[in-house]
Amino acid sequence: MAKNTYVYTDADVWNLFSNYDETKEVADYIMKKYPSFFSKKDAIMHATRLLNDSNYTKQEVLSGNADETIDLIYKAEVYLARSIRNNEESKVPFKPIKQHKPIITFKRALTFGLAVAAVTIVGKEIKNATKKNDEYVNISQNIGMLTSLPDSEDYLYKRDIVAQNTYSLGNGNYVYNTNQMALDILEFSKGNNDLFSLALYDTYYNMNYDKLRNIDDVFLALKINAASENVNEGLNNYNYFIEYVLNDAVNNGLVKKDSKEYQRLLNAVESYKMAKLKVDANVAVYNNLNDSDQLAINDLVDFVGELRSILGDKYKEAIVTMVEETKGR
Amino acid sequence: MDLYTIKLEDNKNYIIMDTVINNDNKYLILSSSDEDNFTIRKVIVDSNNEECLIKLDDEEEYTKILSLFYKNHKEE
Repeated sequence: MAKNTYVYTDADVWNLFSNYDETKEVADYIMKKYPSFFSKKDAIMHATRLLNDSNYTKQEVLSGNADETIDLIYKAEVYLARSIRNNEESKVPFKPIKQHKPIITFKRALTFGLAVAAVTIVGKEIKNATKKNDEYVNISQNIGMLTSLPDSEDYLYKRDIVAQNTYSLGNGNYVYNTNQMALDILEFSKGNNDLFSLALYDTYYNMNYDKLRNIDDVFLALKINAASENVNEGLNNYNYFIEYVLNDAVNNGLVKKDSKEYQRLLNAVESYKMAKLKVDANVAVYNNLNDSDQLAINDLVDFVGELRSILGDKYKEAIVTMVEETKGR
Repeated sequence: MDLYTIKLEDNKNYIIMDTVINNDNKYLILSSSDEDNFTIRKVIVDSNNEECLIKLDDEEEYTKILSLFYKNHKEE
């Protein structure tokens, strides 16, 4: 990262996140709740923490359901500031007074103290996790740089940035999710096939299955697999995925073997086999496949989408089970 | 229940919830009983040989002591 000489301001970082509406809205909410207290960067960190770690939805936060947690985050910061010297000399004599109080008083104070401790420690862990990955500010800086680099810029340097960012986000997953990062890569790599393939490749290999949290993450991972440099592996995963979901649906009576949905699957699998034959014949990159092969892969993607709408909640359950199994493989 | 309280520079009474020892230093975990309030103080012996409470050096020290306190009580 030696070339990274521009120091991004708080506003720059905020703007880089402008596409991440969900996080930004929640960060806005936090900042409005305690005006002038949280910096934009801290608000984003706490917003991602609420959405990712505490599993609040944006709507829940905006409707006040997370207010107690936000309040505790705020208080934890205040108590931290009150406990640190900051150049002021404050010394009081240690003269404890013995008092008789109901046990509930002590328990309440202890419970509150533990809640403060928990929220502070988690916050610290998040900060450390992002610091380990060159800090979240650097991640956003790098994204900003990459998007603004001219095409003539050193290719390997671009690769380094992509690899580092995907790695950081795959492991940290606090700034914003891997899903969004991958979409970013797709977006800014457009028009540059080499960088596109490489970015997808790096994204795929740096995405940790443990970090796949929901259907969209899984779907995106599979989509990336299918479009990535390693088409073969992508197709294998698609095949596994489709077979799993469909078998589950058949076993549960949701799809009958003589139905048109089942027939659609068989056709999709046939298309897959044809595409895979091409891949096996050393056609390594998605962009180099001919139109019909690309259509075959797209068919699989479409089919998964259709299956998803047909099966509804059952599909979700199947995905969750599949992800669990994937972790164990 | 018998508790020990202490008055800090803000003139408020805090309950001593716990004592944490780290690197031979003693720290008090304090919380006020009448409102949500919380802080940590370090016990030192001043030049007059009297025990005093001072604030901590930095965030690192604060988080360390907080972690030890949390570890001691997390099952409660």
